[in-house]
Amino acid sequence: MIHFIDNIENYIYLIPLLPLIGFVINGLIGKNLPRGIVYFIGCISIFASFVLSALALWKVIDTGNALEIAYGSWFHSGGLNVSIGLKVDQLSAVMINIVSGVGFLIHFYSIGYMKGDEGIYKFFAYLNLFCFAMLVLVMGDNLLLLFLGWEGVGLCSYLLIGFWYKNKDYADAGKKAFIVNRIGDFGFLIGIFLIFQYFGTLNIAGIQEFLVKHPGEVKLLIEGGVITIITLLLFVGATGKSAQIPLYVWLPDAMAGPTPVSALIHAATMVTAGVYMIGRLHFLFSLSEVTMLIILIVGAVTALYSGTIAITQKDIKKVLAYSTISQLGYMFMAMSVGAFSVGIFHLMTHAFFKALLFLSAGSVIIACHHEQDMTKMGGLSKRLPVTHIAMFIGMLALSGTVPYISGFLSKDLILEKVFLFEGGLGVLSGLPVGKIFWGVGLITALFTAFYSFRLMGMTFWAKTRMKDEDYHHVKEPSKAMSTVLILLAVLSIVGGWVGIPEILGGNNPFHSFLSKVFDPTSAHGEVHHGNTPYILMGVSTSLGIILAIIAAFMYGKNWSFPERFTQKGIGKLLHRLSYNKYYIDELYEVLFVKTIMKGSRLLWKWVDAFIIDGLVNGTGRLAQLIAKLGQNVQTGNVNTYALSIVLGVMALLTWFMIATYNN
Amino acid sequence: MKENYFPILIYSIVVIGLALSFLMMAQYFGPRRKSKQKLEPYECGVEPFDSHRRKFHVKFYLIATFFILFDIETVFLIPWAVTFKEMSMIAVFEMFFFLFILGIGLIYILKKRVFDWD
Amino acid sequence: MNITTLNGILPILILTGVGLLVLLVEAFIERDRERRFAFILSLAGIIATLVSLFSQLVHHDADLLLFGGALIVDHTGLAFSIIICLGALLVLILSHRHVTRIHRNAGEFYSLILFATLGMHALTISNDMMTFFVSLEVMSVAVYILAGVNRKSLKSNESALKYLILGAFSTAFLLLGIAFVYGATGQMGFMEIKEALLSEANAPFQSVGILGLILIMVGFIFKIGAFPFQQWVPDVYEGAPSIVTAFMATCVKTAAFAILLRGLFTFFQADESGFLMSALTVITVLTMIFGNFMALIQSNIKRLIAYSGIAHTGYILLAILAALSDPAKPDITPILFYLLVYTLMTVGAFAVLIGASRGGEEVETFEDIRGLGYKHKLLGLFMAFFFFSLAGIPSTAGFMGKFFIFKAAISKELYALAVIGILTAVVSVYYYLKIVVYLYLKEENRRYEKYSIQWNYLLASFLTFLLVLFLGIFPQFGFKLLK
Repeated sequence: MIHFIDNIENYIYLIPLLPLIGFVINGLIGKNLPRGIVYFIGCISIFASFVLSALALWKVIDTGNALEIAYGSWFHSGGLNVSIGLKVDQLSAVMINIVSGVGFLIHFYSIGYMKGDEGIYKFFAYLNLFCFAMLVLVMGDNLLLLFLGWEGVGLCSYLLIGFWYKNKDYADAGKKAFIVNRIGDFGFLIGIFLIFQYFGTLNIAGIQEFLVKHPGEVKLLIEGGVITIITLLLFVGATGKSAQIPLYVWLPDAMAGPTPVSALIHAATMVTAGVYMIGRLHFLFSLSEVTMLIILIVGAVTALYSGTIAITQKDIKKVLAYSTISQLGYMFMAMSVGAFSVGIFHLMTHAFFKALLFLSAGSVIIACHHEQDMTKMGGLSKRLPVTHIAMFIGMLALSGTVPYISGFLSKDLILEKVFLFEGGLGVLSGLPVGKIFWGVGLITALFTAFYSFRLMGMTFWAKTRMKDEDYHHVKEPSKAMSTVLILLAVLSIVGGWVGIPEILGGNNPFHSFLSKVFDPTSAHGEVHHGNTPYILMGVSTSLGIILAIIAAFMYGKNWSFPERFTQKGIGKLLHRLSYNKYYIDELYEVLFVKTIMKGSRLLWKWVDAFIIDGLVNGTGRLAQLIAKLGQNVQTGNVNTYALSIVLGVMALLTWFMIATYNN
Repeated sequence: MKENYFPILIYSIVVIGLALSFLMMAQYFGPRRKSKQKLEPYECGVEPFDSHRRKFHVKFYLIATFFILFDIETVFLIPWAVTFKEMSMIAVFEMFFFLFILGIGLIYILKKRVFDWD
Repeated sequence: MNITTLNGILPILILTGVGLLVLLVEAFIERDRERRFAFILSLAGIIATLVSLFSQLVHHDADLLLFGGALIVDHTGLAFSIIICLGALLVLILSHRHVTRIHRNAGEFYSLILFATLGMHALTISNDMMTFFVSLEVMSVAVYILAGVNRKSLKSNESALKYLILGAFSTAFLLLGIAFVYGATGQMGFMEIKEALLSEANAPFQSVGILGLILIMVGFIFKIGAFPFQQWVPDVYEGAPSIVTAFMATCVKTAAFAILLRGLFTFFQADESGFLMSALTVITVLTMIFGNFMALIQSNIKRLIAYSGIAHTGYILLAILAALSDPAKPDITPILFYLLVYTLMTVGAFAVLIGASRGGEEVETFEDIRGLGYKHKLLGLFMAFFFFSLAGIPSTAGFMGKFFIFKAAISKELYALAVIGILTAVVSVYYYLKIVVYLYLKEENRRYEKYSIQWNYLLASFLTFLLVLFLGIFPQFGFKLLK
């Protein structure tokens, strides 16, 4: 056993493999197994993987070196030599612990949540498969492996949203998520190809090495804009997976899936893959100022934009979904100003408190018999005390209104780093870019505080709007679920304590731990700026608390004021815009789906019906006109096709003649 | 080089133009008097005795097809017969192989009773 | 005639012999026993052909020219033939029992498949205009008949007639092209034509020769079903019996690609104006776009597969363009790998479609497959997997195939083409997923009775499933197989 722990680097392949084994067992024979065993296999596989992850993390902390294991060549074709290898460095050590740790808690929670569902074995199989893919994503030492994991998690997300429910809306939601992600992946894949083209390798360490070894070439690549193009393409992938503008539209729809799935995939892990990827390739991203600035803008706009949508949604899960998009925007802002470890720090704390919030929401939903509309809830604090406390803690963390709670620490660090950011290109040069985006971040934080406590007010504190008998039937769901909620609530409070910055009396071990990966000399070093951090913190926290109290009062008793406000005039207009998500879904539908479909039909009409038929008829008429031979022009299909062949040949030959004539 | 083709272009235009104009002139200026005799199908001077849309037995077509198939074979055999002395034994072998395959085809159609009427 | 020659044409001899034998079995043995006998015989024949092809490939060290250069047994040709025979083998397995549903005489069907395969193999190794044309016709005539093999179905008849007329039409262009080339060079052998076209003495006739090559290319493009000459594809695929469609979509296409590739590799250097390349580029782009966007609006699954087949043709053309842009050391493995994978996926998908057809009714619309995943778990799973693979989702071989093609295109700096390819591949996800969604759609309050299917459909789909999965995870194995 000691031997095993000491040589954990030889066994890290077990970390993704165990969930895969769980998937295979539950997927193949789960149907015939008793439920208890299905639960056991589903949970134990990910728990064992968590234990191994913790051991690996410990070893990385202990030695300070990455654990690497290479399995030799996977395939080689035309100069491309892809090897299979897993690597646990400081960054992936953090990630695998989040994935397997939160993953395990959510597996455990699902035992209670999915109780009574006939396909529970499939559910656990897919969850395990998801964990496998996610672990491959964060452990892969080359971009292709990362991409396989990247696509794998997308596929699992599709399976878990779409396959679960048998009706067409849910299937469509899954399809939408999948296709929007494919658009992102299109950029990602081209980026990967270009990386291979210019650096000759897909190995992540190899790319970094190339950048160090060939400064001259890299300089040319930077000046030629190649690095910018590559990183932008990769970022397109990130906007897809991490739900940023313009590809965020799938995430709210993905809430159609079961709540544990929303918690694990659409809040804690999968959607952060884009942030992770930027962290993984930070050495590439920091080479392009343009890309970094674009990421900053996209992140900030997304954060604010989805914040404004979240304040009017009625569906409890939709509020959390838009909040997730908004928080992801924060993470991208952190990454874009070079504060990579801060971005990952927020990723971690967000994983804790957002998982907590979703699972609490799940508990509420179960208690209310699958009712998700908050306007039909209210007064649940008396009936669901544990859930109430858990969600309250989660909301405190999300809004970052209580000092030293995890969300407070990470969010404040982000705002500080953004404030200190000095950069700006093009039209932005000369402007205090950092301060502007700090302002955007601050306003977002206020929105966050508002919708957090609006949700609390509507669900827990206001007078109930449920029928009496329904209200009295509401009771705290199973023990397993409560246990998980309590554990996550604790994590949401203390989870951030590994990253207490110096200005708050800590020494930020999280940051120094990750600085092994992220160049320690880069801009996010701990520099003292006098009182500025305290002032910033004070401003954002006090404003946040005020907004939270306003929201709590507005929605905590009955929401007569907001209802009156949204009934007429400008209030009505704003409410309608926000509630309908600025009609972006409809716009996309018209712009893309309808246009493409119409275009295809038009193409068909044009090519098949109009041009060819028209020409047949046209030549026919011409022939009649000229010679009046009076014959009937046959318009059978075969003739049309034959004519199209002739036309094709004629086009080719004409082109050929013009080409040779010009020579 | 290109200039050399110029007369050809002129020539083609003139030819096509002439052909079309003859057709059009015939169409526009030619007198047309239709009579029963003129509109009847032509049948080697004999007066038509039946509709030309008369159906033939399907076996006619089959036999015609097979006739063409085995007729073509002769096209292949004659040049071979003329020259096979100059070629090696391989040529003999190859021709017999060809005939063998053809023979199997013949056996097949016999066995499928293609030549049996009714 | 020595041993080497005999060994070189062994696959041809086997296919001819077995084909004739099956025909005689059909003629002489009574119906009930005939079907099984003909089936086993043709299966053995195809397997023997595969074995002899493999042994040739394994022992292959130098290109073998036979009959004065009329045939060339080289690595490329053998690899293509192996893919074709694999496809034919799977189609044969599928046709067991099923064949009597569409045609009275099983033996005829089997011998036609064998003769078509014979033509395809001869096509992949032909090295002059004469053998190439004869083998093309051997293949085509057999497939024309196969398309109309279901004599009772009007649609099948229509499909065969359309295919025949249009096929003959395109063949006319091809023949005209051959005549032009012969006129310009006075040669029939591919190598000799190339030399003649490149020689100084022949310079005045060069453009006539290229004109001929363009016309020949028209014939090829018709057979692979690429853009301006694709219109027959959906009609013929839809009308023909599914099993024949599977055969056409895979084996015929592979054979046509084999000869297209050989022709292009031999000739395109002779075209100094670069016209062939630019024409091919335009055709590739239009094919990818047209196929994918047309597939979007289909409601008939066979038509959808036909249009998506056009799209896949576009991707393979892209791989060909990438290989051509490096004439000194062309890398054709992406092409071969994609064709292998495409053959497996497509036959697999058809295996499920045929297996799922009830009572002689073919699966046609989306409604026909609604809830299939609940009626037959395994079939549904396989089908979903094949369509995921066709869409190019990772961990399937379809992804690897697309990955290698796009990688090749980008490393040859065909950026615009690669971007169009990847974008249209995104579009394709939409319609493939639509099928998968229907597989698992359940209507409220409706029970789906489960059913069992015959072993051969399961076997064929299971085999292809395993291979597609395996090649998706270990693509290296596919390279080894074809190298």
